[in-house]
Amino acid sequence: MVFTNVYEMITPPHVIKKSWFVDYFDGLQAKLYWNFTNIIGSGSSIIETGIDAGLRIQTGATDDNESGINFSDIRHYSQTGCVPHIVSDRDTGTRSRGGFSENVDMTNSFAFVENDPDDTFYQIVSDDGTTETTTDTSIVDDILVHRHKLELTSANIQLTMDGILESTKTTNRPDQPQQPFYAVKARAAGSHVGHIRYYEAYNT
Amino acid sequence: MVQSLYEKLYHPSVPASSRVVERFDGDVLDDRWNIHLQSGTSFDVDMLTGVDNGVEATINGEDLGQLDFNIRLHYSNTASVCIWVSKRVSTTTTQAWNGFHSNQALNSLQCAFFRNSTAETFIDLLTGDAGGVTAGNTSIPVDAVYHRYEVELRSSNCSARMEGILEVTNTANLPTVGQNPVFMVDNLGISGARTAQATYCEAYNT
Repeated sequence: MVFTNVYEMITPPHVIKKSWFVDYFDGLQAKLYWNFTNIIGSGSSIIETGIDAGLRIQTGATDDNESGINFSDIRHYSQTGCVPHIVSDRDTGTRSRGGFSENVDMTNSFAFVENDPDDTFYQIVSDDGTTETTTDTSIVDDILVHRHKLELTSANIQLTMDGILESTKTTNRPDQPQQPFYAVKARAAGSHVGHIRYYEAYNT
Repeated sequence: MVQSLYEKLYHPSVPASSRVVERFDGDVLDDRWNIHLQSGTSFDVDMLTGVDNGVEATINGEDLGQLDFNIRLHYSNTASVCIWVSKRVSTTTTQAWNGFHSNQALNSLQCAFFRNSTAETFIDLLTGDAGGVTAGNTSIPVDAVYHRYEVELRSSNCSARMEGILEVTNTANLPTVGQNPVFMVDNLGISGARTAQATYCEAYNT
């Protein structure tokens, strides 16, 4: 089917489109709508050269240093009806978290897919502003590129990895509007790295 | 109902590859682009007003300027596509290149791009590896009107389409390193202002 506009590729004409954005982390530098935050320590980010390289985010040089990107607390996405698609990977000493957060430093509510060498499996991690809990998938943590899709609804959070529904979480879900978020945390001494090459978010 | 561009473009089990879609819209050039003056007096890049106008690039003095990703080589030399909608505007001693390149020099090494040059008879496809260049003519005479240009790099060849029609396939001197999109205007060594325009660029790995 040929479309004459992008709108109708993904939204019927009778439906008023809600917030939506797509970023391939292409070109010379990260788009200006991203805010880089050092949560702990002093990290960096750069569009890396190399086929399918995307954005490289590096932590500071100390264990537990953490840095990430966000929308500087501009929260367009509904905690009860939104989806992010994320394509990312990490190195062996890094915990990565991708999804949505209420705040730039994860001090309030959020919903992420987490890939942590200190755990065994990929997890959904969420926080309702008070309590953070996790739900495992069956996928063992790794350093490979995966496609992650989180769907936040009024009933649960579902994580689909590489097209397969892996986990559903019903507890401690975010209670406030959210912003796109991706962060990496050093799980060992030295600077550690994650790459993100696709982020798409929309309200359902 | 599919609501994501992702699910329109990719199978759900496939992690998305690099892609850029640039419409050259708005007040200023998107900051994904590097404005590179190889030599010459200046290289001016301005957004144009007017229906279906995009960006205009003008080289002043002698030599060339180009838009690129400053050698962020996200695109595979063996499996990628680059589409440009562009035109050469100046009609004397000017060449405009569009497609893939891996460096910022006035050469055709490690590249795959169209050349629309007043020094040639036909618009042609140039492919280059580290040591040599192959030029293959299309059937389209050089001109100063908009075209849709598409180069596709594969492991064994590079095909070039204009307005969706396969015009030429090069099999020799294919690039051996990753690529970034490039849009270049050059005055063929004759001093003066030379201009080219573009309204669309899309590149992706296949």
